[in-house]
Order: sequence, then structure tokens, then C-alpha cells
Amino acid sequence: MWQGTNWDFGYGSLGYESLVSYIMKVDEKQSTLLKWFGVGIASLLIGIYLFSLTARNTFTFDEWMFFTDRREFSFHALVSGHNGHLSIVPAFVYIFIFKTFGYADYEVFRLLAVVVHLLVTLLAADRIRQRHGWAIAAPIGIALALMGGGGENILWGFQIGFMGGLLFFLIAWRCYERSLETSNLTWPLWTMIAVCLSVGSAGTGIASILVMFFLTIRTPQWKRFWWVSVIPGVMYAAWYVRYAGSDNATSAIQAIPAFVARSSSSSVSAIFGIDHIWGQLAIGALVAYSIHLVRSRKATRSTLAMPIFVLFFWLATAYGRALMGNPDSSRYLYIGVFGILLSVSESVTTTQWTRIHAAKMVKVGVVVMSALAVWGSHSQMRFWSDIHLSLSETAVGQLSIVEAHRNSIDPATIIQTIGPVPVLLAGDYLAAIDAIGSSPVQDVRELVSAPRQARLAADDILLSFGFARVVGTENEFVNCVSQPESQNLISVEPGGEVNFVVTQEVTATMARFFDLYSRGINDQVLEPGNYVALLKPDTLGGSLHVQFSDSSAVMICE
Amino acid sequence: MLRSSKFYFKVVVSSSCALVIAVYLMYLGRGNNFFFDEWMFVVSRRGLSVDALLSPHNGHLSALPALAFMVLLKFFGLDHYEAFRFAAVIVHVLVALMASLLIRKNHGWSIGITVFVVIGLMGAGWQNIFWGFQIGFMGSLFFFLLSLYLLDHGRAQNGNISFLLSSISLACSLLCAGLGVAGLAVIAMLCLFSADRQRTWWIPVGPALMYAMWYLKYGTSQAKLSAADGVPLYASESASGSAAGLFGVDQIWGALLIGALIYFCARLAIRRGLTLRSVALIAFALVFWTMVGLSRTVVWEPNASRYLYVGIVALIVGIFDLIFVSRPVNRWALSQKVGMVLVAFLAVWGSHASLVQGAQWLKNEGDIVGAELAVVEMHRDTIDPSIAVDPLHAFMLPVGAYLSAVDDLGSSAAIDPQELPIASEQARLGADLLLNSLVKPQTMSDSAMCQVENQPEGQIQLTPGSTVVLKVLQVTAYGISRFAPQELSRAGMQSIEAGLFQIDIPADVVEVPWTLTFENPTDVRICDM
Repeated sequence: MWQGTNWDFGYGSLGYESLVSYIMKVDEKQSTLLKWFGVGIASLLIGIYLFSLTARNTFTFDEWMFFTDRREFSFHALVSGHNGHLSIVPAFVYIFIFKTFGYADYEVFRLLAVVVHLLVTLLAADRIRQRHGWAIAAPIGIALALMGGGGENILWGFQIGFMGGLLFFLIAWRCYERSLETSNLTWPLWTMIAVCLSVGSAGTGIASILVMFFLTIRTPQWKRFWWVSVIPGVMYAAWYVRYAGSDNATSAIQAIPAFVARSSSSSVSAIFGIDHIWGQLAIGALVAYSIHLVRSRKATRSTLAMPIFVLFFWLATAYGRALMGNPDSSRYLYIGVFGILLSVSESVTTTQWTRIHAAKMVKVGVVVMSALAVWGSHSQMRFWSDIHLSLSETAVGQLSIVEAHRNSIDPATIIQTIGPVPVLLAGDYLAAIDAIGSSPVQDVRELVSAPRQARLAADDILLSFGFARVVGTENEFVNCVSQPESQNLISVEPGGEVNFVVTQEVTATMARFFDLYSRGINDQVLEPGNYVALLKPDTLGGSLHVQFSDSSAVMICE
Repeated sequence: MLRSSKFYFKVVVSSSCALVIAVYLMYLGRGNNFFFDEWMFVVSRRGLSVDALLSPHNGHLSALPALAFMVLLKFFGLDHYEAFRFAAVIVHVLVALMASLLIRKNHGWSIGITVFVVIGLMGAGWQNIFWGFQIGFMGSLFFFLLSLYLLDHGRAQNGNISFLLSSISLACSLLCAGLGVAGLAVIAMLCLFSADRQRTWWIPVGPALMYAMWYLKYGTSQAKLSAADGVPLYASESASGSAAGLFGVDQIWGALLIGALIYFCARLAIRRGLTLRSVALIAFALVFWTMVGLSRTVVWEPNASRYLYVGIVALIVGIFDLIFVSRPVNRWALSQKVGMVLVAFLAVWGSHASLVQGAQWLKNEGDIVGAELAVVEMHRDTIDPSIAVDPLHAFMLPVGAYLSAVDDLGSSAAIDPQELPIASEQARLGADLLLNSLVKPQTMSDSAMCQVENQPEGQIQLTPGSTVVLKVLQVTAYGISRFAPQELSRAGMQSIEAGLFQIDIPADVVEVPWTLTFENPTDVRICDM
């Protein structure tokens, strides 16, 4: 077959063995290219899928704090702590995007979250590939990319900081390994920059200082690399002394071990979306395996790097959150899952599976386990998608009303909270959108056709702030002759009002955007008397509908 | 042959440990009384008969414990529960002894005695240790361990007598409780799949046939195949609960330990270091948890003390069996022995609170029923014999059945009625609950009975044997209490319609007055008679 035309022209000088070797090299290159092309396609498809899960989302929870407080580049906006985290990297990104795209394009944040997650996954999968080959790395990479347990991070733009801590640590680790192969300062410098970015992303990155210190201390390279960990460490310490708000004053030291144990076991459970007990058993086995590695002197600095990173993360989280946080929280599980899988990958050697049959079995096992992981944890991904969508739609409904009635609303009105803590006041929100010149709800024209949750939230805020209401009056009405017509209801146009008389006790149910017949929580009991139903003017479309339990008891007046 | 002084030293130390542990456990369990299932044996298995011996108890073949109860009831009656407690403590010590003997033969005396102390003072197993009824459950475990020991001994000494005794022990294990089925499975595995199966195959056959015959005649399956999907979770929770119970720590730490054990087993399996014998106890525990999981998933209690007991013993012996096959040289260095003692100390220290609390809990239960039985005996002629002595604490004990047991045995499990006023609050509340059943307002039609009407206070005191006539003006509620405050009464307030009522307060040997409490005194009048 290979006696083709090229033989005579290009490769005539090669011997037979050299030719075979050459062809194999070409094949290998093509095969590798093909594999990376596959990785690219897979990443694109997964990215599109994950991006689709956040369609129609907008800012939620902590993002509102950045929305109002970190919209301008300033030293304070960049270095201020966020819940005890140094967040200079996400703060920079948010401010940059606010300035470039405004508030109207949340898609940028959604896209960024997916991209950061895919980068973390690619780096992790590539580490696995380097040790165990494509056949094992590819299924694990897909399982990590579609990891439902970490859905909160993947589907929430704000978590670019949390994921960024891990991303830049993985980059720093890789840069450090490259720097061992050279003698110049380029790679060490990149390593230090990556460590700085990791620390600057969130608290998740602090462990990267510790790991780099561990990898370099008391090694022949210490004199060359000491600054790689020390400089970021000093910088972080300086920031901590000046800015960090300690939210761990109430931490109980005795709660830390259990918190760490639960975090770690929940992370394993989260890989497959199974009960905690299985994760606990697996962590027990991993601890035993680690002890075995240490006792048999098989543990190296490299194999211990990831365990140190993830263990420090759990300990630090427990220190700050043991009494108030949830060790099962999706954002913590994300780091735990990567930490555990990479720890196992770095410490396990597959060289003992020399028999082809055994090696195949291992690969098949990994594929099956990865498929089970995706299958089992996918419901968690859907859960987080639904949660963020619900929160986003609620925010859209509320903010549409706030913007439409901006002149009537008290600036101190609380719009969004995290638990009992207010995170967005009406005044701050309006000031922010005025300053940036765009708004998350500027494209909302007609709330009547908005999603169900947005309409419900809009009605709630409309009624609770009194922009639509039924009030008793002392005014005398005349010509009260007609009764509510179809379906026992009256309609009030924006800016309008309807007078009516109630002759005996009735219940009035009100709705503007939401389905009048699906609720009952806005019921108002009206005693006999004169009333006005009014709706303040806006451009959101639709009318206020007031339905009465008994239309014969209501007379509409001119 | 003269024994060395070292031997006598070991015997003295071991015996002293056993004695001290037994005395301490008897001390902790002082004041207990019959509890729960024991009443079923008291009521229906007093007399020796085939049915009394072979009838299943919750699906278990319980011939030996039933026989033990018959003997103990015959000799000690109902008023010496100490004898039943003593039996439980003895069987428990025997379990600890057998476990330590199984470990001693591979790991030496010092490790064996350490294990003996740990199992002897195992807090998580309090329910078995202090509850006389559990001689069946513990007995089954003891006979299984004995059967295993004799099987090992027979193989080492080439002795058929040991094999015969092993078979008999296995049969005894089956005769004690359903736990013996797990033992049968393991012994069968060891005998039928070993290299010397031609010599040992018959060991499980006799017990298996015996059990099969019993099952065909009396057996009722408790297992539900529909519960099979819950078994893995049940077994893992049981395993981690047992490991946690050993040290008295949270279940998550137990799960981590079990995970480590799984890793240890997997490593041994990969290196082909596992033998059938080395996994016998772990297999026993797995079969046991599977059986319980299949039959008890509706009542999800993998961490019940009685189950933890079995799990802990099996895990301890099983782990030492695995250690034995994993070590090329099976000698314990002094530092390792010290480490083992330290771990043992942590186990005893950590689980001791459970031991004390468990004993106290059982004593409290016994106090309640003992006080209620005092009321039953004081009012034996008037109390309804069909009602349960206590719908919560002794719902399986009808008053009539108890009184016939008392008459039959000539002894009583009740406390002295004069001690009722000073009994624990829970006991006094239990006594009041029964007393409430004795007092029923009788409707009177003759209004002339009420000549002079007095409005009562919120509470009125009534002497035993007295009668009071009430005129209720409109629907209200009243409560009757005697030994405990009405506010805590388990009977609560009873509704009463408008009308004229006579209430007779029964007389008894206790002089404490009764208290009649009215929800609204203005709705009631006391009539002078």
C-alpha cells in the first residue's frame, strides 16, 4: 500500500524502518490532533448545553452587592473583602463587564461561568490524561464537566471567583512543573502570577500559597522558587490584616473535624448523586489508602499537592462556616469533587495493570462509573438550573415594578435579601442603573407575557407597595347601578380608578399580571361601604383585576 | 503437667477482669424490671410444653431462651429480676470471652484480654447487656462464636469431638435466635468450601435440618423481598453505626472506619491474601445485616443497640482475623500493644456514657411498669382485665394475664404500693393513668340527691373509699390524679356533659388522697349528701 507516488519523490532516501517510524509518527500526530479536536467539539457541546440551562437568568444573591457597590474601578471596590474573601479578580471582571456591556447583558456572566468551569475541567482532565491516558481522562473529564453536584457554581456567574481560585491554582501548578524543566525566570514568574490570581479570586485560592510553599520548601529549587509562594503569601497577609472581616468569631474548633468529614464525604457522594453514607465509606477507604501510601513511602510532594489543597480548603471553610454553613453546599462540593478526583489520579498508578484484559477492564470500569456519575448527578444540575431561573424571574418581576414606579418608591425599600440580610435596596438599585445607563430589565416591555414566576413576583410587589390597591373611602358615590359583569370582576387600567359600593361583606381577589384564578393570597375582605380600586400609571401593560366572591353585593359607580 | 506461673497470672487477671466487669454491670443494672418482650414470655411461656418452647417469637426460634425463662421463673418468680439480669450479664461475659479467645489464639493473651475488656464494657450494646430477654440474642452469638472456635480447634487438633461440639453449638445458636441463621451460613461456607470438606461437611447439616424442620412446622418469614433495594443502605448504616458505637462517636466517623476496612479487605483480596476463615466474621455481620435489612426496613433502626452489639463483636473479631492474614510475622511489638490498649481505652471511655444512660433508661421503664403493676394488684378485683397495663410501656401485657401469672408463680413484679408516693415521676404518672381507668362518673337521675350545692375550688381532695356527687352545669372537663401533678397527667382531662354524677373513689392500702381537678370550677357544683 505504501508504494505510492510519494515513494519516488519525497521519501526515496528513507529506509524501510525509518519509513514505518515516520508513518507512525504522522499517524500519532493525526490521532492526537483528532483527539484534541474531539475535546474541542465535546467542550463546545457541553458548553452550549450548560449555557442553555441558564437561559433567561439574571443577577441573583451576592451579585447584587457587586451590582451596587462595585460598578466603578476604584481601589476600594477592588480590594474590599466579600464575605471574608479577597475578590479582586471577580471584582475586576464584574466592573469591566459592567462598564463594557452594562447591566442588560447577563449572558456575558453566564458564559464566563461556563467557560471558567470548562477550563477547570480541561486542566483537571489533562492532568489525568498525562498520568493515565486518554481513555481514562476523557470519560472522567465529561463527568466533571457535567457534574451536577457543583451546579451552583457552574450555573451562577458570581461563582467565577470561587471556581477561579481552583482554575488559577491548576494553572500555577502546571506553570511550576514547567519551570522545573527550564532555568529561566519566565515560568516561575507565571507561576507566581497564577498563585496571585488564585488568591485574588476567592478564599479557595489561599491553599495555592500553601501548596506552592510545600512543593518548594527544603528542595534544591528553594533558592530559585521561594518567592513564588512567599510574595503572594505576604500580599495576602497584608490584605488580610487591612481588609478581612473575620466572620468566624463564633466558630467552634470542635465542630471542624465533623464539618471536614462531612464536606469530604458529601463531595464523593455528589460525584454520583448518591446518599452520604456511600461517600463516607469511600472517604474512609481513601484515608486508609493515603495512610498506606505514606507508610510505604510512595507519597511524593506531587501526590500530596492536591490533597493539601483540598484539605486546607475544607479546614478553612470549616473554620469560617462550621457553625453556620452547610458542608453539603454545592459550591463547596465543586472544589471537593475536583480535589478528590485529582488526589486519587495523582496517587494511583495504572502501571500495575499490565495485562491487556485487566487494563481494558479498568478503562471500561472508568467509563461506566463516569456514565453513572453524569446520570446520577444530572438531577442536581437541573435543580440548580430551576433554582436560579426561579430567582431570576422573581427578580425580573420585582425590578420591573421598581423601575416603573421609581418615583413612588421609598429608596430604603428592601428588594432582595439573602436569608434575613438585605442585599439590594431600591435606591441603590436605581442609582446603579442610572450610573451605568442600562438595566437588567430594560428589555421587559409587557409583563403580562412574562414567565409565571416573574408575573407572580410583580403582582406581589405591586400590591404590597400599594401601587395597586382597593381602599375604603368616605366619599359619596352616585349612580351606583351596575354590577360586575363577567366572572364577577372589575378591571382598572393603569392610572385609572373604579369606585364601587359593597352592600354586604365580600372577598376581593386582586391580580394584574398573574392568573387571578390561581391564587388567593392577595384576598382582601371588604366590609359594607364605599371603595376605590386604583392602579398607579406605568407602561407595563395589563390591567388590575379585582374579583369579588359575590357580585350581587357590589355596585359599580360612575 | 505443671503450668507456669505466667499461666496462673493470666488466669487470675482474666478471671478478675471478668468478675469486675460482671459486678459492675450488675451494679449498673440494679433496680431493673421485666421489660417489653419479656412480658410475652411471662404471660405465655411459663409452663413447659412443646408449643411454649418452639413457638416463634417475632419469627425467631427461641427455644433455649424460652427454656431459660421457664426455669428462672420457676425458681425465682417475678420478684427477683436480678436473676434474669445476672443471666444476661453472664451470657454477655461469655460472648466477650469467646471473642477474646478467638483473637487470643492468633494474637496472644494481651490483645485477647484487651478485647475482652472492650467488649465487656461495650456501651453501645447496653440493650442486650441489661435486658434479661436478650440472653437469646447474645446466646445465639455466643454459640456461633463457640462453634467457630471449636471448628478451628478441631481443624488444628484433628479432633472429631471438637467438630461434633461445633455442630451442637451451632444448633444451640439456632435454638437461641434468628441470628443463628447467619452463623449457620458462615459455618456452612467454612465447612463446605474448605480443603478438608470431606471431614467437616456434616457439621452444618444437622443444625440446618433441625432448623428446616422447625421452620416447616412453626416458621413465619419476616423477610420481604420487596425490601431488598434498601438492604445495601441498611447494611452500610448498620456497619458504620457499629464502628461508631464501638467508640461512642458520631456515625460519620464509623463510616470512615468502615471505608478503611473495605479498602483493607480490597487490598488483601487483590493480593490474594484473604482466606475464607479470615472473612468469616465479616461475612457473618454482612449476612446478619442483610437479614435484618430484609425484615426490618419498615422499622428503620440500623443503630438499635441490640443490633450494634452483634455488629461490634463481629467487626472486632473480623478485623483481628484480617490483621492476622495480612501480617507476614504475626507478633505484636510492645509499642503496638500499648497503642492497642490506648485504642481500647478510648472505646471504653467513649461508649461508657451510653452504657450508663442505657441502664438508667431501662430502670426508668421498669419503675413505670412496676408502679403500674402495684395499682393493678391493689385493685385486682375492679380493674378491667382486658386492658393493657400500659398502652405505651407494656402494651403486650393485659392486666388479666399478669394477674394470672402472679397467682400462678406466687410472686409479683410490682413495687410495694407504699412506695408509690416516692416513686419516680414517670412511675407515678403511669400509676395515675391506671387509676383513672378505675374512676368513671356514674349518671344519677334523682336530682333530690343534690340538696345543697357548693362551688368547688379548682381542685378538691378526695379520700380513698369516699364518694362525691357533682352537678355539672354545662359541658366541661375534669381530671383525676393521685401521685403525680394533674398538669402532667397522661390521662389528661376528660370531658363531662351537663348533669348529675356520682364518683366513687376506690379504697386501697395507700392513704394518699385523690385529686379531682376541674377545668372550669364555675361550671360545677359539689352536692352535700
